[in-house]
Amino acid sequence: MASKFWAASSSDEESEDVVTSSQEDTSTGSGSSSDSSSGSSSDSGRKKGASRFLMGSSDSESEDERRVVRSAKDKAQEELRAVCNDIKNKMHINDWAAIQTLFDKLNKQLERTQKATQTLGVPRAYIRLLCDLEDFLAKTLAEKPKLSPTNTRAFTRMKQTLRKHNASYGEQIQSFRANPIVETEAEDSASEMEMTDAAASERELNTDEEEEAKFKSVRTGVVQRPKDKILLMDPNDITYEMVQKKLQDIAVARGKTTRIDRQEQIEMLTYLAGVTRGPVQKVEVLINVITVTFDMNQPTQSAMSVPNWNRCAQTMFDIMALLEANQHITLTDTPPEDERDDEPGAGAVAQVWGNLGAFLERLDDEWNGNLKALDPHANEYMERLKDEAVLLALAQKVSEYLMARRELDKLAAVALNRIQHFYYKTDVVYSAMRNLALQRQKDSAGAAPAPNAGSDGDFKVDGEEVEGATGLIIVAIPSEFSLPESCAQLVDQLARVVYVHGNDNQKGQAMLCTVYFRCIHDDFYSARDTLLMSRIQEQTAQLDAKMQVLYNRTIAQLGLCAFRTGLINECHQALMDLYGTGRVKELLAQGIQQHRFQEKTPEQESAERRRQVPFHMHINLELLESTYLISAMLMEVPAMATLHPVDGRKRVVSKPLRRLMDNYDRQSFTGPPENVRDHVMAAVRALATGEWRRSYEYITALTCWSLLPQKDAVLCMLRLKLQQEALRTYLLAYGRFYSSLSITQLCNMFELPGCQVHAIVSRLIVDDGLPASHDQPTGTVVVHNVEPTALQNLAGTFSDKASLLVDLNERALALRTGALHTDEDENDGRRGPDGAQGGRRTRLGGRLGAAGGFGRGGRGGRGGRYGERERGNGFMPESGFAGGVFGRGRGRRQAAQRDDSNYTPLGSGFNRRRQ
Amino acid sequence: MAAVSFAAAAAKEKHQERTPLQRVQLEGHVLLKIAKHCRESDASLRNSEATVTGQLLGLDVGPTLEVTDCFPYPGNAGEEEHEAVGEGESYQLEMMRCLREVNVDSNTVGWYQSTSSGSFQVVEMIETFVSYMESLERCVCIVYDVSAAEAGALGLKAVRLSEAFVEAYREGSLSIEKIRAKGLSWRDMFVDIPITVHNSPMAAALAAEIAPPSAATTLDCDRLNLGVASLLEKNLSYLNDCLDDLMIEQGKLSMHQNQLRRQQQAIAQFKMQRRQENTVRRAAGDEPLTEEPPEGMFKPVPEPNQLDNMLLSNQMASYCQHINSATQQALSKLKLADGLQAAI
Repeated sequence: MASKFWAASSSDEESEDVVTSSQEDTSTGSGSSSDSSSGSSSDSGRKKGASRFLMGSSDSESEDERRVVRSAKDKAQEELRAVCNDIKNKMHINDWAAIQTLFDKLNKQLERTQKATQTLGVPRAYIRLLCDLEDFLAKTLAEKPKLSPTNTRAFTRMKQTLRKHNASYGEQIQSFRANPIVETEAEDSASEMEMTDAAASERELNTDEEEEAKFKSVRTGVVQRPKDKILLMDPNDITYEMVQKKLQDIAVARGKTTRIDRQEQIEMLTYLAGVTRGPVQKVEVLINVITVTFDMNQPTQSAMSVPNWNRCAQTMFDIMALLEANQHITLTDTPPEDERDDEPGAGAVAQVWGNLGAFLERLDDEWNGNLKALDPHANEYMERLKDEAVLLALAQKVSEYLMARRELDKLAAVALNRIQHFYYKTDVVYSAMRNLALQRQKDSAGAAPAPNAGSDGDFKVDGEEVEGATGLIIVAIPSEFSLPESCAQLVDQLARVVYVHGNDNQKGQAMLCTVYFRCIHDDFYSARDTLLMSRIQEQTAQLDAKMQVLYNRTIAQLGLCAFRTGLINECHQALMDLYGTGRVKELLAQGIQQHRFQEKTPEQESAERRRQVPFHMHINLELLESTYLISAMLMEVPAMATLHPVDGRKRVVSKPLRRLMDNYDRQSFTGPPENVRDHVMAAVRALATGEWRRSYEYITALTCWSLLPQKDAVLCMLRLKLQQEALRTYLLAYGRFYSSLSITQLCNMFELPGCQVHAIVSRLIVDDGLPASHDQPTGTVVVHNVEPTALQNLAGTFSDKASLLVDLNERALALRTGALHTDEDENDGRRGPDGAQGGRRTRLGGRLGAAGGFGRGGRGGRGGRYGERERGNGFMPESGFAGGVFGRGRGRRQAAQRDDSNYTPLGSGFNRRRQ
Repeated sequence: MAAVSFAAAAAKEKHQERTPLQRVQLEGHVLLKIAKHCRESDASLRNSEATVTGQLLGLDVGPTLEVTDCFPYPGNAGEEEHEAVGEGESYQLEMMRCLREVNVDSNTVGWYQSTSSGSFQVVEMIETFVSYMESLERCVCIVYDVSAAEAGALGLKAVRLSEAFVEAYREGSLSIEKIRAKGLSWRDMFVDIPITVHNSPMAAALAAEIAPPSAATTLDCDRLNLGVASLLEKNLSYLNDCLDDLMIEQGKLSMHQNQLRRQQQAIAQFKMQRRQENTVRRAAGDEPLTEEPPEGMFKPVPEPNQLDNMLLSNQMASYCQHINSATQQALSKLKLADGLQAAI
């Protein structure tokens, strides 16, 4: 395009314009020779540019609007024109196939342009093209030129689409045909310049206005008429039937089309609520307000906006107040079949459709969703968090109502909902929230007259005002709302309600919540017993994802609790499965992890996003990790010390820890520890040589301990454990280099009392085969060191390997025949997936269990192994934790079932990666 | 291993009628040569665990295979593998020619190789056998066990592959199905052929001549050695290695099973989807699509080869046998020693 270059040299500002105009020209004046057109267009461009500046001062609106340099808009229009041009060109060569694709492109472009320019108007170029296309189509149809088969097909299709398409633009096309400025534009560019005066601008202005008007009428089409009628009427004239009819209109429109303006509906409804006749109708109207507000956003995409949420909450309160005041109104789940046409008498029994429990749940979901969308470190998050009090107050009211109406199944749901607001709160958090709620209650009580005037029933405001006021709705917490002093009591009470009235799922959730709650309050044994009694770990695979997440959270909390209580073994067992997978974040739904070897589909990802737990409920991952690693360390380091280098027997207690250690060893240079892992690794290194002091130092250097309220007690416990384990490690690792060890010296080294050293040494002698004996008179431990011969070592390895192989074989066969669970209970722990170690581990488990006061130790060890197996199979490895109580048969059977079904666990790609 | 250059030499071999090979008759001097070669090289190559090989020459007479002579292949071609192939070939041909000139039987009847306690059952051995058998129907491999010789016993074995196995092997990868169909087991892979040692009268006379007057030799003293620990250790460590390999094989198999199952699930899912799609299509009045997945969508999962598995089983069996015999002897020797001590 010569013109382009030409123009570019003239002035920078113009160039954009010039391009568009020249394109316009070529597109319209396609018949003229390139020479003349380019010349004229560039000419015109320049002139136009000049005139543009003139025009800027003139009062021509349309030109102003169009010519204001808005790059996105200009660009979009430019592109549109370019496509138009292309189509024109293709029309010349009768290439219908190309035209068809270009036409599609053009329509897309049009949408974009509309978005960019933020108008619904259609550019003239587009209309012009539609006309041209129509003409050309007619011409081709009349002439019937010879076309290739593809072209013929495209032509017929084009014919149809164009007919359909043009129907919607009929008016514009007609107006365009009636007044085709373009022609003049093309033929005589000079005339166009003159047209920038009143005539042209007026015309354009007209069209614009027309379009605008049309757009408006479309937008308000639904509500426009009623607004006229009802809104302008004197409220006293409005009858019951009128409101009822209006309500029905809105109800019918619900869910029908997306083009309804919900905002207007709400305005309408809020107005209606003010003019209703009788409480029954008012409740109906208010319920409709809630449903329409809920309809305003797609729950899958984003959470409800805060004003809307507030409006809903407030409306709920209003409904509650109304229902309380009018006991004869009942809410039913099913919409009543017979439409009430006449006004029910005051006090007559009436049924209204609505489900408060469901509303509450939805409100709760929206609140959660809103929290998830917010940045947890921002102030807004805290602000939003304060609204929990509103939710709780609402829930309390609803449950009171349901209790009074004996709607027990819904009551259970609401109670569960309430539990879910409490179970993760420590006493401090709870009391803080309680104070906040009470404070807010007091505030709202003080300010009651003003905002409550609206909620009390007389909406004397018309729609517009309400619209402006929505942002300002502050939900008042009613004065009867109260939170008991003790959270435990409340949770217990609510859980009881669920246990009595709820269904299985709800009961399970309530149970998990109470377990979680007890864990937070350091009541490990009752928490564990409740969990085990429920036998939920047997069905983890059948649970839905939300509950699985809850289960995982509970298990994590159980581990933390065990750690705080000093039950290292239990802690490790609980957390092992969470960390064994390396997907803690995903399992706890506290963030999305990317995996290297698996791609998630968008559906999976959005599902995962929906599962996420809001930030204030998160379990601190750093604390969890350090807890796990330290408990693993305390068990692993002595186990490592027993390991003989010759026989290569590996009693791996914690695979993740081992992996970390391998990585750590591989580093050529290890700096001072920085993160949790570094610290623990350094501590492991120190502990492995029996240097418990250094180890303790490393561990106390961790920052996350400050998160624990009982920090000192925990650290004290850790110190003791480190001393004990260091002694064990030391004896196991270096015992054979001594001929005798003095007990007093050991006491000094590890700062332990003599009796404890004695106990530990005795246990080592009995259990772990420390070849030593006590010599009471001299107070020493005499070591009898006997190294096994190479042959003995080899034989030991051989038997290990052989039994492992046998087990693998049996497993393979069982998988093949599908009889995975048959010969389970006869053979004891010997044939675990890790073979010979099974037996040994069982014994070990028994011992450690006994040490930890776990009455079921003997089988606990087996459970440990279970975990490993389950881990390979899918999501819920935690059943291993309870394997100590439930037989192995079940665990295995579950695994088999899981393999057969298409069950997709939390991260469904996991199996693939694993195997 | 021996190179495959025998096609030419063996092609001249007359086609034998298929009488099964019943025994191998070994000339005394062949045995001595083999023993010498294996022990010497074993001493020098002790660490590298390499095997030495050589060519067996002889005659095929009815059910017996007479091995009348042999010559060793030049040392292991560890470093210059590429050159060695060509060199070994020419060396063989040259050797054969020379031997023919001195009027020695120059028919190839197989090869010999050294081993230590039964680790001869490897893939290379099978490959060599199969390539030999292409041209030479009746060939044997004589395996000389160095470790047995150290313990004072003569570890000599003539093995060949069983017909059934060779047939199965030639058909390609050994799947479980095929093995089952053919009724093969790892025991049937190798066939042991009894060896008789034949000495010419002259040699016998010479032996009688140079035989020492005393019946007891140092070899007999060796036999009375009570320590079997080293032998057991060695065998056990071999067994351990075998177990490791076996476990790898096991892992392969179970992985295959998993893959298979997953694929079946995928196919089932696909069919289910198709069925649903078809109901929709039928409702819309369209032609239903076929339920079978299109070609190439699900490739059959390759099944792991069972050859290694079988070989490992064989190896383990021979190790076990070694251990058994060693411990048996050890026990009887202990008993003897016990009795002796009691007598003293």
